[in-house]
Amino acid sequence: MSPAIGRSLDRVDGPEKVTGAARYSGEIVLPGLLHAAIVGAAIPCGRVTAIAGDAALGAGGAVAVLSHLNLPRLAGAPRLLPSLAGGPAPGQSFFPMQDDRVHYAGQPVAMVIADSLERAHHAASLVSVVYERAASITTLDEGRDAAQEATTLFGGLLPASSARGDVQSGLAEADVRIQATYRMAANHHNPIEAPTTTAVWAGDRLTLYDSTMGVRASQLTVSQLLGIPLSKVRVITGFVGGSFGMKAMVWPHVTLAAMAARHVRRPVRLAMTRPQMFTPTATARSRSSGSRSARGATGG
Amino acid sequence: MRPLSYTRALDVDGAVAVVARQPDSAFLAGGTTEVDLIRLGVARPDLLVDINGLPLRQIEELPGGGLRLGAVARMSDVARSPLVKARYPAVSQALLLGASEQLRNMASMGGNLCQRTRCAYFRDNVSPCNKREPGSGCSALEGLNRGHAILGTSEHCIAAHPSDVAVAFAAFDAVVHTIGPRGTRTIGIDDFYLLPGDTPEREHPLEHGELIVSIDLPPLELARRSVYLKFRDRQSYEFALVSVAAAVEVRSGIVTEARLALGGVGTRPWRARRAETELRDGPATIEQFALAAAAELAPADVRRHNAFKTELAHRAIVRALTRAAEGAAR
Repeated sequence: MSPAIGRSLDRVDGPEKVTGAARYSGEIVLPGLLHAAIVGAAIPCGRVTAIAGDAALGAGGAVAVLSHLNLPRLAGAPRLLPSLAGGPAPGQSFFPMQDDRVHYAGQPVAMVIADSLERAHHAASLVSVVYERAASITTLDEGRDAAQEATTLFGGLLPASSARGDVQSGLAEADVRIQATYRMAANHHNPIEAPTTTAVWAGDRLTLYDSTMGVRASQLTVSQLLGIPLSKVRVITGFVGGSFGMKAMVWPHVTLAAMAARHVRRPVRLAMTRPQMFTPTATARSRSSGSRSARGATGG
Repeated sequence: MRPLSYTRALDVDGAVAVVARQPDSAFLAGGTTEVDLIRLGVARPDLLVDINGLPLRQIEELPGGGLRLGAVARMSDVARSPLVKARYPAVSQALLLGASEQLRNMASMGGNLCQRTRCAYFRDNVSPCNKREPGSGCSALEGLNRGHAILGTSEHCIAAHPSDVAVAFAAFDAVVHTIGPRGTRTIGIDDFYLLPGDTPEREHPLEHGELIVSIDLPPLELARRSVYLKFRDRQSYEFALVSVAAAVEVRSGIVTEARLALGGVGTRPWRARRAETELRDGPATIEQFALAAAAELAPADVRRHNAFKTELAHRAIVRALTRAAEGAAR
């Protein structure tokens, strides 16, 4: 039996965490660091018809306003695959600010870079975005009619259905049948440190200080999306900052931080705000599950 | 966060003069609510005048047995003051049941009285809200209103007042002293909090530039055995769904005097005068306490999600009065 069982053990990183000595991704300070803030879409579905960044750029400390109008196109399209598969894990099947489409409320439609976090957020509040609203589907019930039967699950890794035995006759012959539908509301992960990425370029070499569960997943994703060799991307994570699983996938802000830093040629930190923890990051979606089971009178 | 200017006041008159002179300015004490609201864009001052350095941190005895609390005395200092604990235990309890230790170490007494509602529609800076944007409508009437008020509401606003200690102050007839551009003023706690009516944006009668300098607790013998009960969704760091400040004087089984105030259910700290009337000269029994609770809650105006507060408040009142009476029996 392991001598550790039954004994109290000190966490290796405990003293650093409780004394504040631990440096989280949002606390990495680099010379010349700038801060990025995301402007989230104000509509759930539609198009961006105009963006005006003049007022934002006129605000103190603002350096750049990025949107689909001036953000470079990605080298590769994101492909939805769980990080467990060991490949790029972009978390979403599209990348924001590549075109004018809005897929969900809060989706990044612009990004402001400024010399302090506060000034970045203030400037972001001054970006004027004009939308053309389209009909949206935001609940399970609204989308039920348009739903289709999935053929695969988990990014194509698993078949969506499997069958064994004769279910129909089993149900027909049973003495007791239970049929129920179970509904669960959407859940949002909220770790103590909201996902934060600090990006710095040295020539063509990119370093990311990222609050991620998998440095490899971040490295693979950013390398694929930006089309740069894996060997040119270094990802450093000191402390994850909590996750509840949400930092397994590599949400758009990681690549956006790298793109922002490349645009302004300075280190840039992009920290999700707490409200953004409910939009362009992970969501445990609402779901409705049906169940039917049957038993013989003797329990068989 | 909007850019703003900041200055530190050196004396009370100077602080009042600077704020009175500039329309979009505000006093800054502990900042535990105000800075949040500025970050959210709900409060939009161009100038903050920091009053933390002013000599307003006293907790001192008044002739006759009352206490004077300085406006920038910290919640934690007042909560732990032996004078407060001995004479007004409900004040100490209410303070200690509010916020967190870190916030209490920073938050001021004057700021506590002026804190704004936790109504999510007020704070989100987007939804229609008559308190934030007069005339824009009240999103809470038909929205998520579980935490909202059931007493003192209007068709324009049902936001609950969030303070705990103000509930105890209401029970004890605290008095607010101010200095403003037009001189000094004394405002009874009843007059300090306005009902929302059709002007929910106006929560107290302070003029722009008028500064709370102290809060007096008048002498009140039965307050020495007062209690404060608070019910909330979690056991710490949460605002009240229902709270009760109670104090009674009981002689030979008869309630000779009663003070009762409610939190979490009113659009302002809610002095329960109907209940007090019902209690006075009646038996100190659970049945009578229940009658008093029912009298107070009869006008309750409940909404889709907050109807439970009537029953919760009823039980909380009975429990608080029972505890207060146990301490007061002689």
